Amino acid sequence: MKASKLRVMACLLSSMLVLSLAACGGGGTQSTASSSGGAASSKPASSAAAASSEAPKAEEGDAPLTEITLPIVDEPITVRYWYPMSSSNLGQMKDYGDSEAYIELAKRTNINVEWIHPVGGTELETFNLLFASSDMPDIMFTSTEEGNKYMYASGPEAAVTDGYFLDLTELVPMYAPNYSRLISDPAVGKHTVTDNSVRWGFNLIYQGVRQANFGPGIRQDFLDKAGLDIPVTYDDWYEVLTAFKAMGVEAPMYISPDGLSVTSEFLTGYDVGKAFYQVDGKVKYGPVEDNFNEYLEMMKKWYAEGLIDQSFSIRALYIPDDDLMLNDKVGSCDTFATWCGKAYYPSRGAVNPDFNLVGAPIPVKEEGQVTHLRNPDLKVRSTVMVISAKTKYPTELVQWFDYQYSEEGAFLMSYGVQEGKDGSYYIEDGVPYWGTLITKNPDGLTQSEARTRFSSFVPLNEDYGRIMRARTPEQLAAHNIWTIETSKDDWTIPNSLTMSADDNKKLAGVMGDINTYVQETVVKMIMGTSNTSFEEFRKQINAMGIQDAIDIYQAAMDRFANR
Amino acid sequence: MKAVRTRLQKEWLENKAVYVMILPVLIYYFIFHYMPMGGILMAFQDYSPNLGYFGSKWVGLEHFKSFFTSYYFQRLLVNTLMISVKDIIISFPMSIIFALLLNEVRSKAFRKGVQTVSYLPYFISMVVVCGLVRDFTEAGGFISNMFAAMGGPQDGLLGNPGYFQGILIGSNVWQSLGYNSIIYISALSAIDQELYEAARIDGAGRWKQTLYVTLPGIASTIIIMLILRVGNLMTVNYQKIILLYSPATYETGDVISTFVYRKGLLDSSYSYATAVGLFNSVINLVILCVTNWLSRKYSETSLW
Repeated sequence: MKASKLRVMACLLSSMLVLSLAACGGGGTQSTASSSGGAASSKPASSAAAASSEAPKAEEGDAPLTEITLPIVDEPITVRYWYPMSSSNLGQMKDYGDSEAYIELAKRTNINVEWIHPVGGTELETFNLLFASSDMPDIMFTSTEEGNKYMYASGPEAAVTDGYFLDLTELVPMYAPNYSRLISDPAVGKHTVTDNSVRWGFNLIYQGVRQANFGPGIRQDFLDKAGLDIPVTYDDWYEVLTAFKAMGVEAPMYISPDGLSVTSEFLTGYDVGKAFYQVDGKVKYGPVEDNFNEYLEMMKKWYAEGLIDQSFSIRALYIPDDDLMLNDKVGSCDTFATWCGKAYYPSRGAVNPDFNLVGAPIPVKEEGQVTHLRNPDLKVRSTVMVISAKTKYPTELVQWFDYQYSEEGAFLMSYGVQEGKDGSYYIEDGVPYWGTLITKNPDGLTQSEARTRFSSFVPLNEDYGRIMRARTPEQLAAHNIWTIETSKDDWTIPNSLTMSADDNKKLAGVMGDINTYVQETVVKMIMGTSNTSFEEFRKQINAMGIQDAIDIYQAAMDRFANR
Repeated sequence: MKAVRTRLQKEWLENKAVYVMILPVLIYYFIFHYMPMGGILMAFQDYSPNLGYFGSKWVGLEHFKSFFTSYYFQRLLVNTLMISVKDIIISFPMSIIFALLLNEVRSKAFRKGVQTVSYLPYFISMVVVCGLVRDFTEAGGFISNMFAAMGGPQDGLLGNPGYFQGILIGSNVWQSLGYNSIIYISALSAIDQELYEAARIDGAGRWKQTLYVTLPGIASTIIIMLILRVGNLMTVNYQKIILLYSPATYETGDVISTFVYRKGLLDSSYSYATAVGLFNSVINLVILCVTNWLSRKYSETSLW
């Protein structure tokens, strides 16, 4: 009896061990709660007060700066910059700080940057946690792009009033002469503030207008082998994909894991968008429109016939991974202009010597049809760099950013420092070109890697000509074919819409459930595993309150039009 | 009163070292397991990090109500329970059987070898395990092809809601079978060898020995492990689900913890996510108490 008591005790002790392990696991949600709770102690510093209490560097006191004097600070300072960066751009670099353009920028301004790049796949998560931590970096990358949002949940204006983002409304006119000049154009300026004219960050701006740089791509070498032309209509696509299938291509067409194309390229031929879009100022939501079903029916048929990647729903990304691409397993996919032609993928190790990915036009029902959605032409990007309200160097950082918008600063960030045909840039007839260090790197870096290493990947005031002038004929052809006269982008909703904190909260509540529902139902409808009819699907979305979300968008659109 | 104090003093003087030794553990529990409980307040607030616990608006049970009336409530609950119950039914007895079988192996070298090999998967990183599972079960993967040849789906298993829970539990078994059996193996080694001898003298064969000596010998361990496992009924291995699921398999794969992750970390609805998490923990606690009570009533073995 005594022995059995002991045994029970032993069991109890060992189970205590297990229990403590289990408790660790169970505590997961609570410890998250506490880590965000820790931030509660940090008080919301009034950003305006923080700004005015800082002694401005400008000697003349109240007069706005007319230019940036270098160095911006006499004693070097270091700031922290949170910036998601894909490893396909970083290449062998440790962080962005190894980029020659940023090294030179630090020399000129005396402001050093300590880069924080979140681990791939956890970007959004870590971004959201920045707001719950008391340790916010001085500068953060944000984006208001639909479907790729890095933003405080209640919106940019709330982020300013809640004491996260530095209010730049007063600071930019005072300390940012170059940026002020650029945004004095109303067509540009309109996109850079909220409805209440609050300025909360520095928008990335293109010199000139950037043409669409993302769209459908197809393997020209496969087409040649099949003896077919580049597909134009949906019927052409069907024929081409069937031919690819017969040739043994594993996934004749790769599509985004949500079953819809990134910027609605494959839906717009049916006059419908994948989510919110606007027709003459009237906001619509694609999945509840009649035509959405036509798209689903087509995809369902194509999937059943094996024309679409059979694993599309479990893929990680909207673009194929290297294994699929380099081993000839994909016949067509959405792609970037930079990745078209015979250079990019072969330099990454494509096994097929004939590899040639080219741009294909936005598909239509019949030739000559006008479409309204695609990767839009852009002047102002939805990528916005913000300064933390708690930074020790508000005016210095405003000037640091502004310098990058100046002619000299923008040139440095777009072209780097090594002059010469075999350097990072050379000038011919007054026009700058990238040198072979970037276009044909001797160490075998891809253009994206070299562009990050010897200039910066996306300068704040980017000379997009630097990229266009380095294009191969196939890459230029891709740009042109995506932007032919009949494929317009006039149904796009501007990414710079802003909403009140309440609207944002309501929208998050409604769209959270709807997005999940649409995602899973669309995927299952395409795979043919759903027994929901389109009418039921639509009815359910309506029941979940889509009209409220449309109304919120409509109001935001109207306010935007009146800015 | 005085007597108590002298007793305490004496106790302290005698066992000073023991108390000092346990101190770090107490501090650990306080900091990492009790302090975070304050975060539960969030569930009853419209929490915003810049306002903190004291500034955020109190909303009572609003977040609980909206979860209970949510479109996904039923599905999340059913999935969580299904995955957990299936996991208990399948992997819990497997580790016991595995331990019993190992116990019957007489060659020590062979036994050690098998034990080591079976622990190994437990120490592989979850991300790597899920990478392997994906490769095997996507369209064209080895296991997918095997199923396709036997008349299963042609477009891969992982994207198919009907197979998701099977993949999840199957890989759980592969991963943790050996590790979970450790505690039974140690319990088995504590059984008095004389009992076996006595059984053999009474004419019991291998099977009868297992039935009448081995199993009763480890019964209390089994019951305690079962209580602990059932007490965690609502806790599923969400990291693994997050790494494996996709919109196509939400139907059978989306559970309460993954929902909390999406709401809390991706949509930053902190309060709502905390409310859902709290609901989960409360159910867990209730189940633990009920199992413990049942066990005490019927088997005399219990946690407290």
